Amino acid sequence: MSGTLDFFRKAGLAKLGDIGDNLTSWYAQFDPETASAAEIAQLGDRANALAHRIAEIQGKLEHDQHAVESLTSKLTRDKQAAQILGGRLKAAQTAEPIDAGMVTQLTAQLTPILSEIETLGGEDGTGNKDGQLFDAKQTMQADADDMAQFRSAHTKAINDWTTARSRLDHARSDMERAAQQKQDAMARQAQAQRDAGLLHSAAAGGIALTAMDRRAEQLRTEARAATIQAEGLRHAGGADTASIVDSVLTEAPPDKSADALSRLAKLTGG
Amino acid sequence: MSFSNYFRAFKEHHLSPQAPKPPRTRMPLRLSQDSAVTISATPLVLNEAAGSLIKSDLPSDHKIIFVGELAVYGVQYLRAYLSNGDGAFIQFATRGDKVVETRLYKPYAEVIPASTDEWNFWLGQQNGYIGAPVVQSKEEDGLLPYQRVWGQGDQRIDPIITTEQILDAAGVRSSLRHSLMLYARALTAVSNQSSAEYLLVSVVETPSGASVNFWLGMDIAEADLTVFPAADAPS
Repeated sequence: MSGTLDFFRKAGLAKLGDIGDNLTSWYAQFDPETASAAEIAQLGDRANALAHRIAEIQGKLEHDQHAVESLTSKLTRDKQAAQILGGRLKAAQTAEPIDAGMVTQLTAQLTPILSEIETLGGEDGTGNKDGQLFDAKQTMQADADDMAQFRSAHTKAINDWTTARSRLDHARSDMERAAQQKQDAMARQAQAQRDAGLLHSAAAGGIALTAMDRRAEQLRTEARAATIQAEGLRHAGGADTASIVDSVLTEAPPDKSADALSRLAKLTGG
Repeated sequence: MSFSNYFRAFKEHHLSPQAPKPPRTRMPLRLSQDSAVTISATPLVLNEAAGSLIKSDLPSDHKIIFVGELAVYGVQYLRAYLSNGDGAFIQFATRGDKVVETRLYKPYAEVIPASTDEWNFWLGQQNGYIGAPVVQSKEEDGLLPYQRVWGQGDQRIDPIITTEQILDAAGVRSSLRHSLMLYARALTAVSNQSSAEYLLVSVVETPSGASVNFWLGMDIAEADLTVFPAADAPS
């Protein structure tokens, strides 16, 4: 982040053109780790603007390259022509007799070429210190530097944008998963409550059943007691009630097997 | 109308702000009618050193006195005629808006045939000189051979007939009919840059007569031209 910000400071708003309005301050506040969706969208727009600027500089750089090549070629050709004319001029000056007309003509041809060489290549004619070729080289170098800086800024912006968007997507995914989990938990809770209701109803039924069983048992006991009472009164007449009950309860049960055999004999003719 | 009144009317017509401006031809580098151009001596000197017959004595500063337009094989040619060249012109070959070649042509020779036989020598269908596979320079220049550029094969072909539409600086239009053929020869390479010299041959028919004209041509770079566009030069 600081590297990118340094670039924006160094590049200056003028170089950034339309995207330089408040990019520096905006970018200073941007943190890909905590960026909001709106900030991420804004960063995407900024990255796009940087890409457009890079494309512009690319075009300018190609133009610069062409200009340097053209000026270099022209300077080379001008020097060749100047040497040729210089040789002719020297020959004309040293001829016997001197060809004054030729000297004048050659000088008239040579002078503008020399001026052109100075214009293109500067005082020493090389284009390494001053002149149009030097200026063109400087311009190309400056544009190449701008290009490198803008490429770096664009790469950083894209990385930040990708990181921030990835984090936002991840957070959104987490949130969706948590929401689903909460929904599932609520559903399970509701189901559990419904299940709990059913279980409670079943237990209550059991209790009622037990009560009914108990009541039935009580009734059966009460019925048996009444029978015993009646039987005791019928057999002992005036006997103590308790002893009658005891005798009934201890009385051996009837032998049902005998009844079964008699029934068998009856049924089989035996 | 007296002469004084005629002159005043004429002057008012041409000098008033409402006066119609003469039409201009849209040219590469804005080299239209009334523009000025300085031609660097460098390409002339280098070509001359490479063996070209085009001498480097062409004046460097010119105005464009008229512009010619013609088409050959679908290529549009625009010729800017130079005020100090006695028929020299800078020719741009264009396809659409793209300039595919820029050449400087300088008059080399002019012949005015005096009889039908002489015309047949130049334009005869069987053995006419214009359209032959090879033509030569003048005897005093060594009869240097130039190969035909247009058209394949070693048989003579008919010259290209086309009309050049002329528009001069005053806005006056005229036309020239050409029966032309292009030839070329290679020059000695200078600093690893091969170059060629062209020989353009044409029977030029004007409203008042016809002649056989030869131009020597060479490729030049835009950087060799410094143009000072006329104020009304189309951009």
